[in-house]
Amino acid sequence: MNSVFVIICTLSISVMIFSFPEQVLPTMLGGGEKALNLILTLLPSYALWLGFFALLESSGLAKKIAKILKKPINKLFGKTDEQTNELLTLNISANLLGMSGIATPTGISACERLDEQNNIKALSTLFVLSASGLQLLPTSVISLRTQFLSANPTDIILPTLLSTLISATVGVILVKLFVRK
Amino acid sequence: MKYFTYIIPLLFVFLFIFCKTKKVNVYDSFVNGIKKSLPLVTSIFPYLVAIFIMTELFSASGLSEKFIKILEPLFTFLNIPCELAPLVIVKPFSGSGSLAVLSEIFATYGVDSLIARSACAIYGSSETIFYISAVYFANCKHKKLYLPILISLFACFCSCIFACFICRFI
Repeated sequence: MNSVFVIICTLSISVMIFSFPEQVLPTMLGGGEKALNLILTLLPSYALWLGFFALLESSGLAKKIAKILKKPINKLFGKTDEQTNELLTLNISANLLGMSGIATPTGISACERLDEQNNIKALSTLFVLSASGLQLLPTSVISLRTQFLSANPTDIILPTLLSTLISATVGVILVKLFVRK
Repeated sequence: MKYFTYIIPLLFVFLFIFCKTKKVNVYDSFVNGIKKSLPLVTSIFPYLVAIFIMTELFSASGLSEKFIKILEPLFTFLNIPCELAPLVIVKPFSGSGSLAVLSEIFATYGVDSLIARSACAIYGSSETIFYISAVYFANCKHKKLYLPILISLFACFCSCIFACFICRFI
């Protein structure tokens, strides 16, 4: 990201020096203003959904969902030891529910364990699944659409779910085909 | 498609009632979850500002138009509207960046337009691949982990094509 940022900014500013140099500062400040507006629209939705997920956790529903997912996860990753298995289940179910606060730390420890066991295939599967952003309810997009006064903010649930399923399946199949144990 | 409108209200009603039967202190627990939103927002704000400054400069200088023109044949070939090119390109690199691009698309083309809906599906169809790889693989000893990253990028691209296709029908 660092080099992308430097290259794009320097190029753009150099071009603007020749076309309209007086616009450079207002443009940059305008960018900051847009960021501020976006963050103000994001804050209520983050607050709402983080509260929602806190309830999921404290009521024990999150654990129940993890239990249901245990079998399919065993199938997907093959044989792993018990502790890794638990981490994988937690990671996948947190990802599905959109709880990145739990998904990231469990994903990292699962990766470390799989790496130690030389289980590159399961490690790749875990990465590909996480990178495909498999999520049941795209809460941030729905909230953003609501803020932009969409007529029907939830009508993108199905296409989004199908698209993320495609990226997950393509990824998992390719890992099965190309990554050796 | 209409019944999706009911999902969110029903989810909340169900969860509140379920929590009550489990004797969870709904109010306190809810507030505790909300507390985490402020640090989250403050942690992404600096990135958002930097990204917005970059994208504003990029479009104000006219470079973005030229860049999209160069890529146009590739995207038309794959049936991806070229208005979505910035999103497809930024997505693997930066989560907050693509969020910024997404809201720009909403503002420019209207939130219920086909372009915006395809953008939503693209946004939701993959994660920030390079960020995830940096975080997940940070402590791994194996060095040859470029293969899963390549696979993810390819899968992400496939889902982008699919997202643009499927949004025409649903």
